[in-house]
Amino acid sequence: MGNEKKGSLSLFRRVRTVLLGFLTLAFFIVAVAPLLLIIWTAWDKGKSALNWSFVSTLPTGFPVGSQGGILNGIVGSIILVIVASSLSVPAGIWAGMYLWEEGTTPLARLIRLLSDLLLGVPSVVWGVVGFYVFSTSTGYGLHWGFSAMAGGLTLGFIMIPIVTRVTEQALRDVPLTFIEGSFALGASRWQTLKSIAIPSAMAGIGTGILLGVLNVLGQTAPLIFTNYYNTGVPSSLVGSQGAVGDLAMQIFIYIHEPSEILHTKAMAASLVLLGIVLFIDIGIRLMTWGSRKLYARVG
Amino acid sequence: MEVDNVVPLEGTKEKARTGNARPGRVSSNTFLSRSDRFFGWSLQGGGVFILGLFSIVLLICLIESWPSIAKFGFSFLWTSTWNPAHGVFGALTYLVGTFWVTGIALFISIPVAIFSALFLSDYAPKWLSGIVSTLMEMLAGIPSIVFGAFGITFMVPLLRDHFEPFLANTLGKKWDFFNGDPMGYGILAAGIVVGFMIVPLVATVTRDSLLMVPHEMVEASYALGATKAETVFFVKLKAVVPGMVGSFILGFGRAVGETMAVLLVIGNQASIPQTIQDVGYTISSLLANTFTYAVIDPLYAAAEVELGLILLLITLVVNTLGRRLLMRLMGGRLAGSVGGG
Amino acid sequence: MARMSVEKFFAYYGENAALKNVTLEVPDQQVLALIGPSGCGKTTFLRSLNRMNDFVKEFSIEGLVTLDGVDIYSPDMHPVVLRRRVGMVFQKPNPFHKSIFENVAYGLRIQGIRAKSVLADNVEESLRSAALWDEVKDRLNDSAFSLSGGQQQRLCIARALAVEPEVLLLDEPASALDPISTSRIEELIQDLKTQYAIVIVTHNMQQAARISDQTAFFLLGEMVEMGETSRIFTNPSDPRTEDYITGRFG
Repeated sequence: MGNEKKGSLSLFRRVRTVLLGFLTLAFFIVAVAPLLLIIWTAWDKGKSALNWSFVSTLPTGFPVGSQGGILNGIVGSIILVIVASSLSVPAGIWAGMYLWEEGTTPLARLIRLLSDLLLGVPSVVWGVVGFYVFSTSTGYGLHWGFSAMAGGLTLGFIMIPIVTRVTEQALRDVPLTFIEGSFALGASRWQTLKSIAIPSAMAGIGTGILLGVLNVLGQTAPLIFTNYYNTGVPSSLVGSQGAVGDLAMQIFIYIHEPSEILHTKAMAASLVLLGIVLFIDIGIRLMTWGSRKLYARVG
Repeated sequence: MEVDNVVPLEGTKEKARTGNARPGRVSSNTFLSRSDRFFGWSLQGGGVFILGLFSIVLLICLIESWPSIAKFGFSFLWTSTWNPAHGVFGALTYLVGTFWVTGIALFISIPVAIFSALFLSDYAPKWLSGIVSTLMEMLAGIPSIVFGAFGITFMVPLLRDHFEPFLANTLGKKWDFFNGDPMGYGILAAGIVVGFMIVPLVATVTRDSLLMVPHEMVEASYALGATKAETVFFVKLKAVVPGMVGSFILGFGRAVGETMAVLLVIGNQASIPQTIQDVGYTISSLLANTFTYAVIDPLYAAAEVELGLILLLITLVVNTLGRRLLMRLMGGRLAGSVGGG
Repeated sequence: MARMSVEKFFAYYGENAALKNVTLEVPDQQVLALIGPSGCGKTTFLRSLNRMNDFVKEFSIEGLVTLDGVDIYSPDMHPVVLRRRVGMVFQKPNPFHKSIFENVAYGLRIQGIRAKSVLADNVEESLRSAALWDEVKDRLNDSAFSLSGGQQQRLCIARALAVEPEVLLLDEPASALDPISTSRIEELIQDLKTQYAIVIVTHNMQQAARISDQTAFFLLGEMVEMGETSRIFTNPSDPRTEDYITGRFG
């Protein structure tokens, strides 16, 4: 302290201050390094396989995939996302509207808790549930086999709580004055929701859907239980011929094979998947410019 | 408005219950039109849907694991034998593997996430903070399988050739726990990969709580002659302990169920790890690897589903806790974590 | 003798001058009250005395402020050290999320003081000076947030005293408190002035009249007049001061 009387800060405190500040930067770099390393690794190992025919042809050769591309995976992923969305978008918006409307009643609180807990259910558990609901050929369930409907709807289950949460939040972000103004003009609750709240919350709800799609695109584990994989394009969506390819699943299968060329293709497929995911991610950010909160919560 | 167009809402008690003005709901406690009545009623379906989905998840796990629960009881938890041929099943090996991976992941991600959160909230200039926060959140969006593929092609060789021999030659000289064969694959690789996967979640939640520390408290510290680092580390960090704990809990809930990235790098061998370099098996990677073979044998399948049930119950408890902690802090604007793929 | 002196001081937020040509001296072992209507610059002035305005974007100053003859805006005075020597208590009580003990000990700990006995002695002495010791001595490890608002404010004063400041700046320290807590704080200020130079910003003119020895009246960023409190309140030399203290505006 003697030194400080004169007006200068002690060396110990100067060093400590600089060091701690530097440590935050160092750890931050450690935290984001994987992002850059992953992109770089995928690019470095996969770029040789990446060309137009890679994304526009079906896998061929032996082992399957050593020639040709990943069209089956791209088409399959699109089918799965469409199936998943067709369940989760209406259901999630419905549940989100319910939570918004009911607000803080005990039942609504319980539902909100359950919805949030569904967000955290491990993907293998979803796989098990999807298997018994859709795929199993014995007992109760729909007996759809390993198929796009089974896989897609299981992914739809995963998407529902995401869409629910973001829809509710987006509706809550609609200024109360809009709602009150509508009531003051004599509009009913339904008219208010339909013509004021939903349109104002559209961007937020769209974000929720895209967030769900983002999540679904990266899911692999549930598909192991409900769809597995197909090297071609399916002729139906249910039954024994109903399985589809899937980008994430394709990466999983290729990386598991003891084949250099398949590893290269897995890396190239990772690049494609990363590209799609980052594209959607950036799209969401552009949509929700200024209200980043919404994204950070669920992501 | 004509009289027969309006119908008094039966059960005004419902109004009394929910009638307070609050965002999203304006009380109108006299009359509602028919369309509103139908609308209010049909919305309940949205809630019932969530209730139903949750019940399905829980019920299926309970029903399908019942043969195993009935046969092994609680001893399932501390039995390490897993022998499908003889119909003897115990969860211990997979529980231990799961907790090792989760433990290593938290050990790595907690310091990294806290320091990163401090960097984002206090050190980075505003323009940079916006960009790099985005970068970090994008990391959260990278699919699990891509992390796994990265783990195989990058982490495993790095660990096998450099880091694991290094551990064995330094810490391993003193503690046997670090003195294993460097194989690359194993609980360490899985823990590190999962650790990096949950850093964005833990860091973002911690950063958000840091941003909510009242400005007055920060000023008080400066006014006592504290430097920036002293203020940030000794006052702000202390003030967000509940938020940090909440974020660790959410991180735990996320890590414990992580599947694909773990499956690809853990080695998938049903033995209890003795050293940090050892291979192992987690609940989720076992299910992803073997469930489709298991379903032909009812008891085998039930044992696997029971593992899934244990995992489910862990995440339900953990996420309820984490959510409660964070809800109090952030006034309800918080979601749980999305289970990894 | 003057502890701090201010000469031809100007302060700006961007292009807007918040303080214009202020010259005054902070007397030792006395209470100086800064009065004036909202927005007159008295808080800006107070916060310029320990460089708390450094954290405000686009804030800049001109002129000279010295502490014991050293220019506080020069490289000779590290702002962190300045803030230890010129303590500050804020309008709203702002304890840390720590125990009562650790709140008071914080300023010492960051300076690297670890010895338990030194910390304990210092904490006790500071809490006694802030007239809080008897109320909290049995629960030093409780959270500071378990205290009442008035107690929290005295804790904040104790915390400021623990680092042995030479000047104490009080920014409307009683405005958020009930009348009983307010009178305790006022008594405390009277006790403390025997050891410190105290500058207090207040909206409450009765309070200024009760507790201060010197009063400075600020209006629209200028210091209109400064002098003995008794004279300012009975016989101000500037008609604007008279208008203000008789309640014609403000």
